[in-house]
Amino acid sequence: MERRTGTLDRKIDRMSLQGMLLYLPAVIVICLIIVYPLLYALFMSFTNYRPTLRETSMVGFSNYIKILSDSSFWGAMLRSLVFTFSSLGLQIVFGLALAQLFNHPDLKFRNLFRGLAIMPWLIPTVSVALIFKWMFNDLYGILNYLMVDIGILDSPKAWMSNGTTAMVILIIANVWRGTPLMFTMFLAGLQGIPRDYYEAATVDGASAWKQYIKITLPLLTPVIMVSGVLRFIWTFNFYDLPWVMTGGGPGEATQTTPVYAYRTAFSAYRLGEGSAISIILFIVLLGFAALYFAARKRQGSIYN
Amino acid sequence: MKRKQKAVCINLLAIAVIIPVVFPVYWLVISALQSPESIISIPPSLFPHDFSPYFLKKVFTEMNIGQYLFNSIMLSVVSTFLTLFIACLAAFSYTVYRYKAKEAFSRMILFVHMFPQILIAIPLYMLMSKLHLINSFPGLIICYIAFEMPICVWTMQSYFETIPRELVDAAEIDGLTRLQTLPRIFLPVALPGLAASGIMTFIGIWNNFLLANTLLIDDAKKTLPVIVADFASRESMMQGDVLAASLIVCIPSFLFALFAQRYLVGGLTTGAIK
Repeated sequence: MERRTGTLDRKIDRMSLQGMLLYLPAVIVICLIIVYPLLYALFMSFTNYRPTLRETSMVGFSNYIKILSDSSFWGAMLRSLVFTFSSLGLQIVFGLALAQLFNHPDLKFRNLFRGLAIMPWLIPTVSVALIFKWMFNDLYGILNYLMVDIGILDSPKAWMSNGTTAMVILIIANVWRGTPLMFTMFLAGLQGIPRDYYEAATVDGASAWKQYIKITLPLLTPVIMVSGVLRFIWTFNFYDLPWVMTGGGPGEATQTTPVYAYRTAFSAYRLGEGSAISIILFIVLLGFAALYFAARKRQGSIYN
Repeated sequence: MKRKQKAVCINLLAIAVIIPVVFPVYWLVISALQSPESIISIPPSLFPHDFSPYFLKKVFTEMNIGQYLFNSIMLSVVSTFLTLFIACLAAFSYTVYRYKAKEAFSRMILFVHMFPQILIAIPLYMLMSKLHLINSFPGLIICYIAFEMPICVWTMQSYFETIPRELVDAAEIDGLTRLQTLPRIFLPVALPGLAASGIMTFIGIWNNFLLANTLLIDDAKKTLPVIVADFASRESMMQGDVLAASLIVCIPSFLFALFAQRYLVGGLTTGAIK
């Protein structure tokens, strides 16, 4: 312990003030762009605000009631859940498989394969949406013709004009796009597992599959948990891909929650209602945030 | 012998697995470089040979894509530098100084990292129109900084934390002020982290669609991803135009992948695990 003298105290005070000032720009930007707009939205969600209306008046909870009793809202929530669970489930399975394969000691050109596996992540979402639309195009889509050649299909199909298949293709595109992140994460996780665990297990006569179930997966679980919650939040609220690929259509077949929010707010500029949706989504997010912080805490207690 | 067979299997499997991963990218490049006749040939050929820069030329000469390219480059470069600057200050403050609000600030950053942009798009639109910042680049740049900063703060923090405290103390005794240790000691050590954060931020901003689509209204101000999506929704557009434009949006990512792959993987890993 240092003996505190008056000057040192003053120096510490000055230093902590300097420290705070250095952090301040970051805090100001966040308050300006996230905290303040949210508070503003909270206020506006109780109004009937539209830029075209002459006067804005308070309407109490009627925006909330309107949205929560709108079947389109619940449909969108459900579609978001379907989209999120199937995307993430497949991304995790493919990510694990790719990581295992590209970490195999017998594999040649490992770095080349790993580099190629990251490629989809580099493609901007807008381009991903347009490539997949093009590949599944009813007239010129290459995948239609490949499937006819292999014999899965009799003739090219208009995938994007059917609700179910449009959703399936949306999920395929998202799985393709998101797998590299999972793969990179799992690969880092795999490389962190000490070799001697496997050697000991081999001596004890455990099969490769058993080693995978008993050693690899349990040690990767904390990694899956933390980033899993985060990915869940982001995928649930992922706007770009559905918007550019299907625009929520045909009809409302691929209208996930973010697309619903955007359409409601901007199609007729009913911004009061749009604010209410933002607040509802924010409350949902808070629930997930609690989960996320809990998962992080658990990961921390495992590693430290 | 058996081991050798297994090794061959593994390598063949790897090739089989990588094909669907790479194919969409291959097909984008191939399609964008077709001539107007061959892109609509039925059935399409997997290995076409009728290449032509027709569509690439067309998007530049007739669709003015150079303008959007300029907008995107300008916005991404300026926002990336500002983001790095603010993030470095925050990370430095967190690592070196002691004060009460520190943990609260750090938690705030963590929360923003989680925050989906769609949640704030509608309120931001209302607020920006009230402040007359709709359609303005500075308004959009602040939004980009807010969303890209958290991950930069973490990356920089993890590099800064590797610097031994004694080194900093010694430098202070040698007459550097604490603030001077940032450019003299911390930044040089964290240079790889700075490069990785810079690249990730640049790509994130370059690819951003939602904020740019919400906050920019004038056609001439739009960014590349927004205008490409716009092209795709116009009935009059030919597939070749849309695909050539989609290919142009990918260019910076491809460049980074070729020349800075090391940082890319580093950035991707921090992004994935944190």
